[in-house]
Amino acid sequence: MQTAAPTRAMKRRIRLNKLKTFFSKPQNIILLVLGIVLTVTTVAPIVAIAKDTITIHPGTIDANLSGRSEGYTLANYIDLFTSRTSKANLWTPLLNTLLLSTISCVVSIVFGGVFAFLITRTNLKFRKYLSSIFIFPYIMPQWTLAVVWKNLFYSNAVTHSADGLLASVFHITMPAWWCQGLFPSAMVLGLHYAPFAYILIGGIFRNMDANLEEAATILDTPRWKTMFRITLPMIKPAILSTILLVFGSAMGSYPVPHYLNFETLSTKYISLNSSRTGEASILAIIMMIFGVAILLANQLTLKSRKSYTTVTGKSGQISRFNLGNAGKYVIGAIFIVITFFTSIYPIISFAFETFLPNPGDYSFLYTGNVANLTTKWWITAENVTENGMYGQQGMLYNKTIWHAYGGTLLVSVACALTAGTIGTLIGYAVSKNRRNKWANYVNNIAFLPYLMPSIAVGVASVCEPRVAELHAAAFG
Amino acid sequence: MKKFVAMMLTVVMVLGLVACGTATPANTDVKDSAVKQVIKEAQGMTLEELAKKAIEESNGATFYGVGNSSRGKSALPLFIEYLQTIDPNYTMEFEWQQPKNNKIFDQLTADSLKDKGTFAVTLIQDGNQIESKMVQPGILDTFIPLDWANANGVKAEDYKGYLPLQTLNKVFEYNCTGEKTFTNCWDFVAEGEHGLFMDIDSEIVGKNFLYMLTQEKYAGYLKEAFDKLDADKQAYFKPVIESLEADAKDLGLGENGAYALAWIKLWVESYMAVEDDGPICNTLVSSSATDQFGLLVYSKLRSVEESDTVSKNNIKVAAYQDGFEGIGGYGYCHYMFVPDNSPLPWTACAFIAYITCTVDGFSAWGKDMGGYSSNPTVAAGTEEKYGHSKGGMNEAGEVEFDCKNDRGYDWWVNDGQLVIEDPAYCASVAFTVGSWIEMLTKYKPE
Repeated sequence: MQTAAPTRAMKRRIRLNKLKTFFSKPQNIILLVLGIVLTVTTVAPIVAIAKDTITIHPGTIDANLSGRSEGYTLANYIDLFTSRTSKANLWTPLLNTLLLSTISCVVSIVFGGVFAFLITRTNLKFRKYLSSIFIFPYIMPQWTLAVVWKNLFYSNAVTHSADGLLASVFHITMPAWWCQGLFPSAMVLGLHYAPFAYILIGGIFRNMDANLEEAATILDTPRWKTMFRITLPMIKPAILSTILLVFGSAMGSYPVPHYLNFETLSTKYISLNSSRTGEASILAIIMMIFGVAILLANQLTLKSRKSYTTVTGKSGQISRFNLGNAGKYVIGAIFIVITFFTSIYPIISFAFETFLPNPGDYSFLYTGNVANLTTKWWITAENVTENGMYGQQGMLYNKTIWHAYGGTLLVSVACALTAGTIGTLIGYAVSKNRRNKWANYVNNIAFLPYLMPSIAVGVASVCEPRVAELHAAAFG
Repeated sequence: MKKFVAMMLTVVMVLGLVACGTATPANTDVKDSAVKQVIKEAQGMTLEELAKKAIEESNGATFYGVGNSSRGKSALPLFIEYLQTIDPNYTMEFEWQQPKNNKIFDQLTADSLKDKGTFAVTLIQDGNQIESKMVQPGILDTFIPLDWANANGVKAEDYKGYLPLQTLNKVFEYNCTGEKTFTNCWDFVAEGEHGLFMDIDSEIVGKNFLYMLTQEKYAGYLKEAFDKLDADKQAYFKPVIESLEADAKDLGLGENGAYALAWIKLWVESYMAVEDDGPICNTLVSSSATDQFGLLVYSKLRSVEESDTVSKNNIKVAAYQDGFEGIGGYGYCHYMFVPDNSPLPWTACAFIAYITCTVDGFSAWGKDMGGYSSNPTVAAGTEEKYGHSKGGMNEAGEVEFDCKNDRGYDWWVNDGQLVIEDPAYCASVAFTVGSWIEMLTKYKPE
């Protein structure tokens, strides 16, 4: 008994010392604190939404089916998966969402990847200009591209609306599949997210050691074989990261399918929310499951990633493909035209709209009459007479707009600082604890909010006001 | 063991959150809430008496309102000015929110969980959801101002409905730059026609319009209009109507129910969904929208500016044309309510009385065509002040834009056969007719 006491004290001291040592490393504190914060802020919305799927909402289908106005029921699951409306409310939007996300991934990877290759690995001309302008579609809100698409391609003959620019100026009417639905939605989202692919794939291309390709060249390997057996495997992590980011974002995108009349899980969520609130929450859960599945698939692929060892000498050079004297100009010019329509035209179009007498009224273009232009949207200083202003003052005098502008800037700066700080801290802490399970957990949980469609997190805030308060407390 | 502990922790966390979320609205007591007691007292007071109570209650305070119309924000400064005529030292800050995408119901539900809410007043549309989500659970209370009751010849304590601030109308309009005309409401669902309309899932009052068509009065209007079609057109619609007779019976509709279901089916399967009424209006007034038509908020015409290719004379309001048969559109209300946990109930009642019982108070909405005060005295005063019935006349008194000569509420309800939303009826068929509508396949251009 005499020896037991000192042993216990020693053990306690050892534990204390271990704890001190653990907390003496900043990366451990970061991992612990952010691990807890991210777990709470990520799990809480999921729990709130899951709870909402079984909660009875007065005035909605679950109350009608269960015959009660409060409590819990499985009626939402039964109705969504088995009723006559399941095809319209679940399966068709789900299939559409998967198609949209997949095609958007393909478009963004092909467009962004080819562009990245041309910029970093060839002697293409106008590289500096093109690499700057290519990022623009991501800077612009995605709905702006959707609206530009409508303004360009809609026509009286096909979409039963006023003629868009192409129809009215060139008398060209595009087919319905081009104007609305899957194709334009996937193209717009693909173009919007192509800068992701360019930045991620371009980064690898730019820093790629040319040893392997040089070795292949020395061994007289055909170029296509070098591309498929060496170059593409090297950029595989970037492609996977792009898929991870684009698939999750496209799946949760609401404005683009909404404007281009394509029914996805997110548009269905909005339309079901009034009368089938619980069923809408099930759709949000399904979107989250896909997000988690992509994250897991990405993890599995990264774990099984092959390592490559060079047997030649070291090389810091990046070899550039020669596009030929004409080719480097022609391909450059083609990309200048493409990026004009994806990056510059939308900005010009929106700026021009601010001088039109009515939204979408391009009379000036058809007639050249300057009387068909106006500065009223900018300089109207009263809101008493209607004067085409919907009771609002012009942008320069409108306090609401300036207030909203200030709010947008504030939110953007706050989000950028918060995301940048948390991301950098996690990156630092995880890199210092590579084989630690908690570090891997924090690494994954940090990704999860991005893969949870924003509409689903929004759902959580609505489902459970306390979650919104929690988010506000956590992220200011 | 670790897995077991993790599982237990997860279960505890889920149950904890579930428990946190089971708070019920703080208004299920059998005894009247404090707000209801205020309302009971306020219903016997004049506007001036209410104003004095509001001054006592909210001087220096902040008043939060939430509504489907942004004009609440324009009305509040006028209300404050009015209170300052009684007490020049009176001040009140205010904030008016206008949530989108049906979120107003979620916001009000979340706010009702607090003992004292944030929102003092709400201006809300969609009678169906108001009935089932707000009134039946006791989240919102109706206050009937004394002057409003007197003007409508009712007694506040006996009045059973909600308090409408105004009725708005969505009407059929068509582009008239071509030869096509629409002389019967069945023409809008004829073969090859695709009206521009806000999707019924985007704006729920559109769905209420379809529900209302199944009420016998409006189904009867459709039957009468059908009977006036020529034989060829009747032959096209007849098989559709006959095929839906069994459904009408199953849904418990009246004798003309099949006519309503046929019109609804053809409309849902043909209308071209547009994200808002603004773009629909801008499309129809364009010279390139030849022969197109839409069902949209009438007041959108107020803001159209004339240009070389856009004109208010490029469109016609279908119901204004001689010989037009059948429904000319539909009407829905903006209702005023006091949340049952309103932090400033006296001020809310005074505000409601001010905007429903005075022309100045209603002017935030009344200055536009297509919005009709529910108070006959205010409606007459508004017409006298703004002259919407002559809104399309030039200074010489000649008709410049016929579509802007608003015929007024009575004309629309009687001659224009406006389909008026009935919250109780909408709520009663939301999951019968509503589910039937959900089974229909919406139109996609091919």
